[in-house]
Amino acid sequence: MSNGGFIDAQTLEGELTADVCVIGSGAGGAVTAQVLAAAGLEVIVVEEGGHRTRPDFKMREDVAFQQLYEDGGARATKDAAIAILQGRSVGGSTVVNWTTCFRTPETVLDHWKANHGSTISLAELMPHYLAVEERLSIAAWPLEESNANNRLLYEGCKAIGVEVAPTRRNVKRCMKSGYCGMGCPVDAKQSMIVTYLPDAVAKGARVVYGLRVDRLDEEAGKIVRARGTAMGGANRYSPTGKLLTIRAKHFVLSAGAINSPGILLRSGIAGAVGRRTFIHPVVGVAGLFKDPVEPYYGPPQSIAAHGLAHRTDGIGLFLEAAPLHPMMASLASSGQGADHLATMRTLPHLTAHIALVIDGFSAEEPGGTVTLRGSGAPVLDYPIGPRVVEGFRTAMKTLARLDLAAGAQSVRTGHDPSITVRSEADLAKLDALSYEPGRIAIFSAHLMGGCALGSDPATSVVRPEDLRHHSVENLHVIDGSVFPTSLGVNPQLSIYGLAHRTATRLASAWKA
Amino acid sequence: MEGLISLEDLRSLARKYRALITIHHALASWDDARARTLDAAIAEEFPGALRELQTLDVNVLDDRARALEEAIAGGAPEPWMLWMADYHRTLRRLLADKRAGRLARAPGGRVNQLVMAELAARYGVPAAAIADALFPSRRR
Repeated sequence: MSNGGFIDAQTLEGELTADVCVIGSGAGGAVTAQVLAAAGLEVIVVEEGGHRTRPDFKMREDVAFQQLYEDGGARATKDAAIAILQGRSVGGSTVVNWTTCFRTPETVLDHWKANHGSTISLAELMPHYLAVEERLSIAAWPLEESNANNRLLYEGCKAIGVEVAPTRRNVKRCMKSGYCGMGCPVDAKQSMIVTYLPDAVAKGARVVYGLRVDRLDEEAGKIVRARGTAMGGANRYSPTGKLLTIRAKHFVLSAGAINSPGILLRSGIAGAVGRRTFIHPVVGVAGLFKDPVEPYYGPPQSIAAHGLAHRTDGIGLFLEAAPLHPMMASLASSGQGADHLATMRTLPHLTAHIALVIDGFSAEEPGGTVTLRGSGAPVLDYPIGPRVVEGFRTAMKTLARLDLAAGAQSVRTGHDPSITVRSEADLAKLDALSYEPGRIAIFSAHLMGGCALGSDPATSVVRPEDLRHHSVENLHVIDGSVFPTSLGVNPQLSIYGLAHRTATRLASAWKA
Repeated sequence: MEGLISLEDLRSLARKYRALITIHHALASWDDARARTLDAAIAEEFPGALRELQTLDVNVLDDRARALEEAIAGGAPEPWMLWMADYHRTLRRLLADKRAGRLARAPGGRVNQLVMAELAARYGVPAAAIADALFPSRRR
């Protein structure tokens, strides 16, 4: 079925052709497709997941996770120790993210220049940030419009002296429903499905959904075709056996930090592919407050604390709030039976505050590695090293302190079984706990690296100036996988900005 | 691609998937006796079907049942449907040959690989693509 340029792969036959084939329709692919289509190039965007839009967003976790997340929300690292939240539908993770927008910090860009042969500067990115920020209505979210979960994070940070500030968000006429993670029910979130993808389609791009790219065929140093399988079923998890190919002059891989390396590895394009994958590993606490918090309502994330991002005595951290809906809350809570029920009954009075570890800036943090399972599916192996473990310990103590300072009656850690902290004196208990994988709930929603940009083909996959593969001349990678480290901030705006800058360059080159 | 799937095959496969879903629910509710009874009947009628039960998510079984029902109602059949009907028939024949001593040693002792090779030759599609369509990995 074709829906104004959005085409179900099951309705297609044989071979498609275009100037450019963009694989992936999330933050990187959508912006790239729009810029190239606006320049007059014929663009096909390929997406494995389904095409879900506002009428599909039912504000129910059980429905949304199946429709909109990789593996129905059950994606995890190879050892199953880290849960991975990643989008899987037209628009990718932009459909389900929590709308937090940061430009790439200049300190990070400088680190890439000094250590990874990057040439990218903030000055170079700035016009592209401005263009994207205008299109996506990215603006500061007023502190007074934050929900209690975020306000208590703010107050707690202020009380213990951690630098904290409101974030910017990509929303327009936000109704503060709190359902950003299940697809915005009112199209207030300016995700790719209401912005860059329709813009690209208006310029002639075709978005083919329900098409899994199995491999890229390379001949004489160029990709000649992408081969894929049309996916069926309600949520596009059932291969139909219908095989399609796409021929194009240029191929842009924008499938994210697990699937982009996966497609390259399946295609026999290896080198540094899959190495140095970073995830901002996350741990969190739940604070119990006397007054209702209702962590499921309101903008899920509107405050962030970066006061610990540049620690001199350990790995950097940043602190944010997370929405807590019933299903996620029940999965994140330890205990069983009556104990679990008792915790769930307190849900309206709980905060969920998280710490994200800024990985990848030290030789002691090599990150994870994407490899292929026997089935050809990519999987991330992410060993938790001692610096990250120390980061978790510091994070847990900091989060507990700030929640107590904000007025929490008690704070529960993400351990199994969880530990309850009721006073400053209890904080010492947190030192003695294990923070090893499997002993504490760890998750990630920020996937970065695996196809790193850099000047050295031995340690990187694409070159910084145009994100072209070092040796395959018509293959570019434009997504979060090109970051050579993590970012220390939520990644969506970094991806948009870098995609806009790179696609603008490519459009000029390819139209010449 | 050779051949079209018959309405009879579509109906038969739809019945198989509904039965597999029933077995799945029986196992999930610890009704092992009922599951065993249904298992035996399905394995007899559709050799290889229990592998689907063991390896596929119940949502995929449901997807398949629905897709077949749409095809029965007049929708376009998907390639895997024809391949699956043929898979059961071919596996039944080769298993019978094996029991009768008419089958040369299967590669790795796996009759399944012979089935996939036959289907690949018959439909002009790589065996790996057919295997992926018929038995997609749970972790894909």
